[in-house]
Amino acid sequence: MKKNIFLAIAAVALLLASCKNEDISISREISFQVNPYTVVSEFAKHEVNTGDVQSLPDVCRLHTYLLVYDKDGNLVKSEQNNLQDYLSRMNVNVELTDGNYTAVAITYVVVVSGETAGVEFWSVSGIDRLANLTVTRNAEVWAYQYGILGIQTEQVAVGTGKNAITIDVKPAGAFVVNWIYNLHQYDNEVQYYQPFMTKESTSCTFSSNGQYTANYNQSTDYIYPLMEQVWPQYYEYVTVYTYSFFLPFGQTGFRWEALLTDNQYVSLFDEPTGNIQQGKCYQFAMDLSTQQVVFQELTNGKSAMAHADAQAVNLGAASIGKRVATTK
Amino acid sequence: MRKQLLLVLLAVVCASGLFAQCEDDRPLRIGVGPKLGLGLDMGSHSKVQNLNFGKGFGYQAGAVVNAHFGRRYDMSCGGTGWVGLQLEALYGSRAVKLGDASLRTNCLEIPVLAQVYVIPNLAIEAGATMVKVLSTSPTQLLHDGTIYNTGEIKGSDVMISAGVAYKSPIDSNSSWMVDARFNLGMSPLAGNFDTKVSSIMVSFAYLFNIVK
Repeated sequence: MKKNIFLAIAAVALLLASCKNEDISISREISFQVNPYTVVSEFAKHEVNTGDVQSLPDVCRLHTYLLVYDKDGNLVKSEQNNLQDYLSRMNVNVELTDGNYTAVAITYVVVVSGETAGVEFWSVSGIDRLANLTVTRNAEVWAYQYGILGIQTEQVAVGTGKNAITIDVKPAGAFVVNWIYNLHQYDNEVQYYQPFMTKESTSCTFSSNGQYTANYNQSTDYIYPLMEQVWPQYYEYVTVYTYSFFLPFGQTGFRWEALLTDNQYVSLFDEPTGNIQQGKCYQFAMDLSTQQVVFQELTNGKSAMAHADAQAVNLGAASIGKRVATTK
Repeated sequence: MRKQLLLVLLAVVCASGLFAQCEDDRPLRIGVGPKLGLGLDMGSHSKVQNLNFGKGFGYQAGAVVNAHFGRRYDMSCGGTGWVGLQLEALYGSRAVKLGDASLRTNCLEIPVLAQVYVIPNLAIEAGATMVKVLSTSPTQLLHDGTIYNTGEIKGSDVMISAGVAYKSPIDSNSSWMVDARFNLGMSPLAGNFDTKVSSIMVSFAYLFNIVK
């Protein structure tokens, strides 16, 4: 009898023990909103003419990536979209299980129609793993203000954090306004002018924790032209400007060069150096009348030099996506 | 007046069992037959996920084996005693509400119940119902921005069951049975989804007497 009671109790205990059920996977629907306006919001304070930086021409779109990586740096979600402009937002719902993630948002301009359709000013590679993620400048084409690269990483704690995440994308580099004042000062002696920088970071690589660094490829110690050659004979404007965008770099040199009518290249006036910092605005200006060349950070509002000529003309907009010409 | 009417009905019910015509003298009656039931399902509050479940409607269908032992009195027919045992094999579908959504679990249920016939045809029954979840619908449940992959619920439970059953006066070949039962869920649906499903079921069974 005792044996039977024991067996009965054991049977019940076994049944109850067998009901320790396994976990199910529980995930959260995380709503990501990528806000690209913060890429240009600071730069826009220094645009020479309203809309130069904030607006995109009809032929361009803002290519936007949202990449979500798990704690091991493996890609779990990838989404791309061509936004109309910087005021548009990209909304993506991602289903994620509880845990820690790194979300990376990347924005850059692409040309979707017109003469240079298909041109991308930056390219993204190695997206499968965060540690392999690389963004590389397409140095073969003119980008001007449309060469701005936006990057932002966010750490996301699913389960313990928010389910709605807004990523305010920040510029990955610096913005430069290039000026020529008194363009026709040496019309009889000069064929064209062109600004250069001596070294430049050309790509961004990410580490496994989502931080990124700008890289300078020392094997290509080239001189990078900041804008197309400016041939005074083709312009009646007195003051012209363009925009450029650079990844952060320490000290780098800037210089204006001119091709004289006797086919000699000369470096004009001073050759300033600058410390290119992320998110900062600079101007690189040459006044042919006063023979001054300056490279300086723009801080509050538009520069004094910009105000000097309300008729300044942006030469860059018409050249977006065109091949960089061989200059020498 | 109503109380008197009830007493009369009760007396008729009792008498029908006591004085039925007996065909043989076996002290056991076993009936086998189909069973259908409808019920109200309740999900307990999930502390881990902080979810409040609402009630939903479920159903069950299957087969029942009912054994009724002994004789109530010396002159009574066999299978009219105080004790019975009931074994069922059911397909059950239960539903609980979560917000606007409904989580339905489809299960194999095996209730094993001891019955005590407090009066000849009316039994109090108690026992355990073994439950194995076969499938769920939907397989993903979205609630407040959280997605529960309910399709992964494949657990089991041993519910504590108790209720009352009324078995019709015994015919030579068949009888029918109505029962009302409360099943108390004892195990969470999943380790991290600590909702236990309980139910109140009302069911009808038709029994063919195979041993009489």
